[in-house]
Amino acid sequence: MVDPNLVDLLTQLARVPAVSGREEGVASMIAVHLRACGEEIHQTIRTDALGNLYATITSERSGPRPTFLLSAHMDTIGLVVRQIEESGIIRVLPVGGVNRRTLMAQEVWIHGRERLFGVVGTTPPHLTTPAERKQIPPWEAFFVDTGMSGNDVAQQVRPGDWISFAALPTSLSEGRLTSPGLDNRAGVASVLWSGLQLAKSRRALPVNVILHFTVQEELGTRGASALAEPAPDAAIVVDVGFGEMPDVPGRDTIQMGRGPALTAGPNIHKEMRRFLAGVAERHEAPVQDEVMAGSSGTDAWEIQIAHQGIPTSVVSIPLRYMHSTVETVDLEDVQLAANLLVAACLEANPDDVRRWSGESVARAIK
Amino acid sequence: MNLLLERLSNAFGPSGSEEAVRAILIEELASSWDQARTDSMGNLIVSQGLDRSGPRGLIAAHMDEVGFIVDSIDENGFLRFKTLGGIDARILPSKRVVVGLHNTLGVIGATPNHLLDKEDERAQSSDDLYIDIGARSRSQALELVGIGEAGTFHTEFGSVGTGLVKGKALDDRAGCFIAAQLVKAGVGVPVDVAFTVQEEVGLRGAAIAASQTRPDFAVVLEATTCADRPDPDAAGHSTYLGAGPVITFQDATSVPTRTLVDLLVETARERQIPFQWKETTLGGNDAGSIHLANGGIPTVSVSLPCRYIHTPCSFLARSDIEHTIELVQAFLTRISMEGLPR
Repeated sequence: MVDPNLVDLLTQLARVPAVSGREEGVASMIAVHLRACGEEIHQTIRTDALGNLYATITSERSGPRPTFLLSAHMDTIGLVVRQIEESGIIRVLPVGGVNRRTLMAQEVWIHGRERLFGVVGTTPPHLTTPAERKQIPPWEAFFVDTGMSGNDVAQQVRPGDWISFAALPTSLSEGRLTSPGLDNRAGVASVLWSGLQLAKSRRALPVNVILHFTVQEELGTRGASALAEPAPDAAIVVDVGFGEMPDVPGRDTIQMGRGPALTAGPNIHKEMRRFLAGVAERHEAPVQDEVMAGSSGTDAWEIQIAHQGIPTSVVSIPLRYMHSTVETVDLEDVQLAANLLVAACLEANPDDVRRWSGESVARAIK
Repeated sequence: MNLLLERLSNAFGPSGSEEAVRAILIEELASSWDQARTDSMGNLIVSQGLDRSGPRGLIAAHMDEVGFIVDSIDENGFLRFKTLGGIDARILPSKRVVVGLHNTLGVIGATPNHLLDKEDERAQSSDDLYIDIGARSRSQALELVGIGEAGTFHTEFGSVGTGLVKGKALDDRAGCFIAAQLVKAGVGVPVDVAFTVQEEVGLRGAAIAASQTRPDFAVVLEATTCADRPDPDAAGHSTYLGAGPVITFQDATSVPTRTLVDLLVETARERQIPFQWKETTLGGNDAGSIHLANGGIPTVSVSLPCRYIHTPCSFLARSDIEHTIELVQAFLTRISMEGLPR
C-alpha cells in the first residue's frame, strides 16, 4: 500500500538538515528529483529571492486550464549560534518554536566552516539540587559543547551559524518513521511524490499544477507570503497536524494511521474542502476532520490572502511530538495524503475550480 | 583501543540486565584469565596470578548503566517506565531508546510546545513520560516488550572534538574497558577483577563480589562527574576533562583509605602521570560497598572524568583512559613489590 519510492523520498529528505533560512539542501534535492521527470518540467524549475522553489506540470489537454498549487514548507526548527565563549562552549538561540523541554542532552550538528558535532550540555544530576531538577532552564542556560578548545571553535564557527539536530530517520515498528524535521518533510515528500506521478499523467490532467516548496514557515509563514504571480486558481497546503498522544485531549489531536485530516475553519475554502472530501470518499480513502478556529498555523494563512485571494485548503498529516527530535509519522498517512493530492488534481472540474474564486452576480431587476 | 570500548558503550546493560556486556567481556578475556566465574547476581569475576605472592587485590568496574524499566503498558500501546539509577528527568523528553529483550527501538515522546501552557516552567517527572515503540495497542506492544523489561538510550559511540570519545554508558564501560586492558596485558600480581552489576541502583553487585574474593585491598575503576562546562572556573566543576585520572579523597559513599590514596599520588608523581582530585564529596561508587565488606577492606577509587554523565551522550578524553591504565598498573606493581603501605 505504501510506495517504497515515497518512503525513500521521505527518508532522503529527512536526512538533509534545513533550518529556517537555510533551506538550500532540501531545495536542491527536490530539484534533482524533478529534473528526472524530463526536460519540459526541468525548464520550469525556478527559485525566488527568498529561496522558495517552484515547478510547473502543464496539462497536455487543449484549451486554457486553471492552475492548482500544491504547497509544502521545506524548513524546520533548529538553533543558531549566539556567542562562542573562551572555554569553547557555544551559546545558542532558537530558530522557530523549539521546545526547550526537549533540548537537554541532544546531539547536534553545527554548520560552521565545516560541520561539527556537538551536544547540548547538562550538569550531572549528582551536582544539581532537587529544586533545580524541577525547573526547565531558561534559554540563557543552554549551551552546545563540541569538545574542542575555544580557539579551535572560534576558527570554525561564527555567530549566526546554524545548528540542526543530528538524529537520522529510523523506523519504529508498524510502519512508523521517526526523525527530526518530519515537520514538514512529510508534506514535502507528499507534494514531490504526487508531482512525480502527475508528471506522467499530463495527457489526463484537467488542470495545470504548480509544485511550491516554501522557506521560513517556522519563522512566521514568510516564504509563502511572497507567492509568485500569476496567482494559482486554488491551493492545497500540505503540513503536519498534532497526532494523538498521551496526556493531550483528543479534541486537540488527530488519529495516527487513519489518513490525513482536511482542516476546517475560516482559513479553508468550504467548496474546495467538500471537493477534497468527495475525492477521498470516491476512492474509499480515509480522511479525518481537523478544526482550526482562526489561522490553520500553516502557509495557507498567507496563501489565502495572496494577490486577489486564492481558494485554499489544508491537508494535514498526523504527526506525534511536533517540534521535537522524535517527530513520528505513520507512513500510511503520508501515502494517503499524497494519493489525495494526485486524485484531486486528476479529478478536478475546471469550471468548478474557477467558480471557487467567485462569480459575477447579476444586477437585480426591480 | 576503540573497538572494544565502542562495543561496550553501545551494548545494552541497564542495572539488572547486564548480560550483553558480560558476554562481550567473556569473549574478549577468555584467553587471558586463569579462572573466571559468575555469581548469583550476574557479576563476572576474573582471576589472574593468584599463585603469586603478595597482597591479593580486587579491581572492580561496573557493567550496568542508568536506564529504564517498563512498569506498565497502556491500552494504546505506550510504555510507562521508572528510571533505573539517577537520571535527571529533564533530559528524557525527545530521546531515542532501546527497550526489552528484543532490542525494540522506541522514542520518549514530548508534548508539543503549542499545546502547553507557555508560562509553565515546571519539568516533567519520569512518571509523566512514556515510550512509543510504534505499537497501536497494548497487545501489539506486549508482543515486543514485556512488563519488567529494561531499556536504555540509543546512542552511537564515536570520536568527537579534540581527542574525545562520545557515547552512552561510558559510566562505567570505560572502567570495564580499563580493567579488561589490564587483564589482557597481564597485571603480574595476584588479583581478582570483578565486573559488577547493579552499581547504579545502590552498589549491589560489588558487595557480594568483595565477599566472594576476600581481597586485601581494592581499586574501584569508575567514571565520575565532570562539570567543567559551561563554566570551567566554577567551584562545583568536580573534575576537568583531559586532566588525568581522578583520585577521590571522600565521596558520599566512602572515605578512601588514606595510605592507599597517598601511594596513588606518590606513584603518579614518580611516574610523571598527570592526576587530579575529585573536588567534590558528592556522588559515590562501588567503593561504598566494597570497603565495608569482610570486616573492612582498604579501598581506593581511580576515576575518569566523564562530561554529561548519566545522559545519552557523554564525553571522555582518550588521554585520561591511557593515563588511568598506566597509573593503576604502576600502583598494583608497586604494592606487589612493597606490600600494602602502613
